Amino acid sequence: MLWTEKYRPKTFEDIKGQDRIVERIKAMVKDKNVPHLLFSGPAGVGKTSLALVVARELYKGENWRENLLELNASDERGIDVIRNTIKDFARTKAMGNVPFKLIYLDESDSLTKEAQHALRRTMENFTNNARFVLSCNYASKIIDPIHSRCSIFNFKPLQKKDIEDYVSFISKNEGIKVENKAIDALYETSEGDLRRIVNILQSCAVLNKNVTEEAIYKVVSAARPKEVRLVLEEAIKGNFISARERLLEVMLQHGLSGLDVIKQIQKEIINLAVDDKKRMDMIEACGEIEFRMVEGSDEFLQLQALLARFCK
Amino acid sequence: MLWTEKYRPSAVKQIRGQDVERICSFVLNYNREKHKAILIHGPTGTGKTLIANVLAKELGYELREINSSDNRGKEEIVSVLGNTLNQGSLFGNKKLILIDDVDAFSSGDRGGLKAVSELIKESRFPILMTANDVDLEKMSCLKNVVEYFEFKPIPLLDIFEFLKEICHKEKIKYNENDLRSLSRLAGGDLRAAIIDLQTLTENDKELKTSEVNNLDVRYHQEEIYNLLVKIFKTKELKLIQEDIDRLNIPLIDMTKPSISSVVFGNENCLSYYLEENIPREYDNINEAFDLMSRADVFRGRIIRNQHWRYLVYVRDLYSCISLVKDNRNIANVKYHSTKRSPKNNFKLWSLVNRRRWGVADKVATHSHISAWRALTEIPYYSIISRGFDFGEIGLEEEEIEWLRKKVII
Repeated sequence: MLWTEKYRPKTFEDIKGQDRIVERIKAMVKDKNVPHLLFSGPAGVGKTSLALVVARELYKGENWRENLLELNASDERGIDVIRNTIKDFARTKAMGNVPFKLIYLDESDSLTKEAQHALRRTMENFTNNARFVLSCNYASKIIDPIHSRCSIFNFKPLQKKDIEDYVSFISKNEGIKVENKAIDALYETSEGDLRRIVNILQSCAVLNKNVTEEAIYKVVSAARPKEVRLVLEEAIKGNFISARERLLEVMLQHGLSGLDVIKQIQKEIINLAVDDKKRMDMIEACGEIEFRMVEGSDEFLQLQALLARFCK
Repeated sequence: MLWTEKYRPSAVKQIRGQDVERICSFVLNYNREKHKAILIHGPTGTGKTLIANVLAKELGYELREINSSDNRGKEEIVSVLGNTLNQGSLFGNKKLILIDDVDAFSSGDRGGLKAVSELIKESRFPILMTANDVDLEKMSCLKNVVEYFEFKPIPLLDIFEFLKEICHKEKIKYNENDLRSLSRLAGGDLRAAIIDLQTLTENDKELKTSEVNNLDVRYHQEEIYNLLVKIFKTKELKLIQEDIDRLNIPLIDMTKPSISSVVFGNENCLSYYLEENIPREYDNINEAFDLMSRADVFRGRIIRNQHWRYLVYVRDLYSCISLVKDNRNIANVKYHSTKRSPKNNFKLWSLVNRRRWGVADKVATHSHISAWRALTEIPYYSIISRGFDFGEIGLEEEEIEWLRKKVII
């Protein structure tokens, strides 16, 4: 059993650290008057959990899953799939004594503009039957017409206090002991991502019921691909082709996106054995390429350009 | 199901278009052989890995395989191979050792090849190795310890016959001319031919002439290589631009990523040929890649805003790659097509087809996240699976077993 599911909040009260958002949504659900919602914010702060709670509360006593369609935009290959599935679902009336169906579209910022425009029509046309909950990491990647049709909620990264509460709740329940220093370490390594924290915690619990700071760093470093560093070292030595080959493998093996890689490169530059001038140049290049990656379209090509610059 | 799997030969006599007798006799008369290993080299899709698998099965040998999805540094090689070579006789069963893609030992596999070349000498079991390319510097340590054996491209007629058989079994409508062109386009790569056949006929069980004609990109390869020579060896900007305009393949790939953010759908685009070959041709790759990177920003703008006029800047930036070379590289360089396409890089298939994806998919559904996110969390699941029950997530026994066995800590 994965703790991320076991301890996923089941009620509004369970959701930590987003009090103001929860309060407003709760009022909407109580009136059974929920507009389209747009949740934005970093990973692991409760967007999906809140959407699921909304469905549970709205459809209390009914089979709540019947009236909920959950889709993940980054997994659905073509826009057509999304269009058809969503349309088919939205076209028919909700089952049971409930006002409307709910469509939860996760990671909707990975939809193309085209797809978003298609979505916007569907949102309009089927408002009577279905309401949308969209979630995304970056609200800026969602087109204006969708913004204007939604109530927008910006989720904040969780505070240390919230994380402490959550961790101590789990540890009490599971009969494990988490040292204070370990909680600090969890907070440090997770960037406020509760989902990751729970995964790390459960991994540690397998190793030892007494969770120490060391155990946490051990698990975290095991889960982080070390190969990115090797790729960089290879590039600095001037071996472009093998650095590139290696990078391709790492990205596929660990399912990393270009942005994941560049974030890690940026963190590694400080540790590399290069002179100061080179280091400055590398940092500048890293920023420039991250910018082009967001503006451009082929993440792997941009990373190659970065490696080529490091080879210099 | 992939036809390359479905129609994989299961016995030596079913292997077509390749002379495998020497390999068989080597394995059978192993004790009398001078060299302890054979390095089978040749282009992709000619049956190199296949022969090892089939032989092992047919002779009832246990196949011990080390491929490019494993870590292959010195330590790993010694721990896997070293043990195998010594322990084997204890249990009495015979083994066949396969070291796949020896030309793909990466820089991370430090000392791996060296270790292989030393272990070979003591081996009590036949070793088969495969490689596309044997002229690489790093492989020189194998020179005196292995026998080289070349696998030739599969003859056109054999490919044709094989495809024909598949068509009959799958009840696919075709005419012989189209099937012959399809076989020719594969250029001796039987696997590519089968994949093409499956892709083209998957929807309506019919091989259409128009579809085959669309596929003749491989046919255009000469044209592309001529253009690459112009860009890499001259500075004739105007001529290069004209040539690019006349090119029969797209400048940039306008498909979406099909696997991860790395592999896109249309492998035959000028951009991929450039990116693959710049480092083979230029010393100052930085400036050339900077141009590629700027061109990609325009590609992003084209995709987002559908403003196709930007394509001229992509063309012009690509042409400018000809201007940034310091000195003309007079060596005759062999050009490659992109390694980012699974068709050209078998290693990719093994990375993407693995169990990992099945596991990520199931966990993703169970825990309301995308398969991509689940993929990055697999190391955690691997540890967790050793202490907790994973049954309710819907994983199969063997998937759980796979998770548990993954070495993380």
